[in-house]
Amino acid sequence: MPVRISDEERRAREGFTFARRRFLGGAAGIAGAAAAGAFGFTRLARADLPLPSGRAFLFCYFPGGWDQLMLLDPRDPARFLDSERSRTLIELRYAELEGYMGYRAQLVRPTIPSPFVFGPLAARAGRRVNLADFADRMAIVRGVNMAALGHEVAYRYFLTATYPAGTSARGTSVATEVAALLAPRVARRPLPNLAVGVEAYNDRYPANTSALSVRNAQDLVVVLAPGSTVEAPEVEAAIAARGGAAGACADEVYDRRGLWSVMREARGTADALVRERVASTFEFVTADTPAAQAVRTRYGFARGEADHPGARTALAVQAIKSGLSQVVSVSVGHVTDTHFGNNGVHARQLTPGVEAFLAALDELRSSPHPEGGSFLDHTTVVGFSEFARAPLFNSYNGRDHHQNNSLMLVGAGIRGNTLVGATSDTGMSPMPWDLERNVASDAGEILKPEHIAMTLLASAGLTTTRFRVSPIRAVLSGVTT
Amino acid sequence: MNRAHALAAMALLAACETTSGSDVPDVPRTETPRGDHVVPGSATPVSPGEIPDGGSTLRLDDPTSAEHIGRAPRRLDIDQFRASLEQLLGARWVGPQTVRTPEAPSGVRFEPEADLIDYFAQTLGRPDYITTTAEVLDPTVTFAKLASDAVRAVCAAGLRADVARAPAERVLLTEVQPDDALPAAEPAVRRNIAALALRLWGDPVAPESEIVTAVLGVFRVATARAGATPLDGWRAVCIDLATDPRFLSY
Repeated sequence: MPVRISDEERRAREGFTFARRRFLGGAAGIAGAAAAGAFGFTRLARADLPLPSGRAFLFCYFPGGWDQLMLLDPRDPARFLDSERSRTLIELRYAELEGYMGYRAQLVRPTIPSPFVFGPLAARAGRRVNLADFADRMAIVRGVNMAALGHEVAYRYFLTATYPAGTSARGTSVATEVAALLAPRVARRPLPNLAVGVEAYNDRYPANTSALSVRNAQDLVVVLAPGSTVEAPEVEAAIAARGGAAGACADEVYDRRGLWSVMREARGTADALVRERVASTFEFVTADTPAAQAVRTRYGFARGEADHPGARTALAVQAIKSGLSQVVSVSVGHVTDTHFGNNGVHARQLTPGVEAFLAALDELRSSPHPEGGSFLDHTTVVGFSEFARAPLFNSYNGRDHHQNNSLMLVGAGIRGNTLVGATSDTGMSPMPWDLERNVASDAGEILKPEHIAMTLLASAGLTTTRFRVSPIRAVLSGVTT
Repeated sequence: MNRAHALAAMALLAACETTSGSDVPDVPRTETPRGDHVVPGSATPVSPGEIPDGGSTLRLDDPTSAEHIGRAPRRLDIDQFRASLEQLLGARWVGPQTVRTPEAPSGVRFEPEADLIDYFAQTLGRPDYITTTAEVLDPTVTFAKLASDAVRAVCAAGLRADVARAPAERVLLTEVQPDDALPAAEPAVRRNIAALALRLWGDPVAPESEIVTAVLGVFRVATARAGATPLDGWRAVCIDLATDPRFLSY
């Protein structure tokens, strides 16, 4: 039986034979618009990259499972008394946070009339911006059923929106899918799909849309820079020219699944990235320049702290702002798998990620985009974790895994100040949601990662036949690409 | 019908073999010593290029097809890659790095010869065993670049060590003397390329085969430069063969 694919998928699979022209054409077309400095950010990279254009995506992963009672799906402590936890199956213990790290044991309300409130970790004394400051640009989706309690299963389920086989991911990362489907529409990027500390998968799109995956900024510089041992240019050219060719006969036998072809192309891409000298964009971790220092100050890390959540997040934002990448996935926080710590311990682990996420939103919102508006107007930001923490504490005063999840969608294509989905007031189970009327309803459907994937694609006017669900239209604003 | 397909596939495999038994050089089975090296080198400027267009995709085998036999190739995992470099080229990829270690009071320690494959393990796809336990084996750009860096360093160190050995104990230059040059020594150079192909790819190619001729072209370019020695050629050949998918997959 033939496999049906959408027009978008077909175009993406057919490859980008015009990519080089788009790459240069995009640069030439926009280059005259203005100098980079005029856009309100300091260009750290070479000046001959295509300027940012079209929709960008920033996937921010909070690793380890985050506590939703303290952030996106809180409960009123006046109604949900800890003493009644055996009835509600929800135990807040917000009091543990009072005065700790500048937090208050109270809910955080947006300054505008809003359908949602945040938990105590949304605001902290001394922060320049807080989550509530972005309520007008943010949609919160609650009650997403991750259908798993193991980290890597739920993590890979969210990444691919396809339930893993055992612990092995199946399918393509949503980030890769977005990058592949966007590629024919935008100027070619040197790193169209970048993953920093986040896994990435591709089982159907051209290799040049696969993510370039690195652990941190320093490793990215190593990947992009010439190695410590480089042969003379003509020798490197001769090696590259042979390019691992094996001959048609060997390819016929051994390259049936395309592994060798993908490996050769990956090698060619790696060589090209070195030649393009894009490494200089990411030297803010170690560089002793005012521009680099400004990045470090905004994201709260010291020189050389390449593995700091702020450094990783800064890398992600600079990749988008400099025009290097269209889609970036980044692990923004420390691992928050706090089975053995109370709310304070979880807050300590989650705070760096929240603050890195806020710094990213703040920078995107305050940076003018070459096509008008701010970068946040052209970038869809997703804040997610693999699942939430349990609403009840365990015997070690920590919270175990909970298959319910919540997430944040911010920026381009997203209708701000929107709440979708819900969890029950007993045990915080995901509740069926009527996607047409945007209300909880037994006749509705349980939200799943597939809904999020379809929504993200739809936010940029894209679609796929991979998933048999509809996008969550309530969170979509007018589609712009 | 299936049997006919299987026979056809075997015939295809046989047709791909380009060597006769007498042409296949013996590869010494001597264990290679671990290299102890710091790789010197200079970052040679490279000319700006362009990102390649298009791309391939991994395809699933059709389970109903009988047109092939055996499983599809897989990419080496990190430990296999390290072991392959060490066993086949005789050196490890090392360099100065600050590494994490529970033995140091601060949790980190500077090591002048840190194992760089370990250092970059997570970027190469090794799981953290906190939230993931399965290694990522996709043929990523990251793997291609770091493998390429590792191969360049290890080939240089491995050849230096090989030259220092007695001729009978060499594992990389088994068919040639280190100073054998073109054009006089072309037959020996071809035989040695074939020996290296067998060693690194497990592929018995004939010295006069097309693939050896192509690799010989790399040797020729590397030794044609002013001041270049045959050892420069062998280093280029080593890099060529060890960055080939046939070395990086199995």
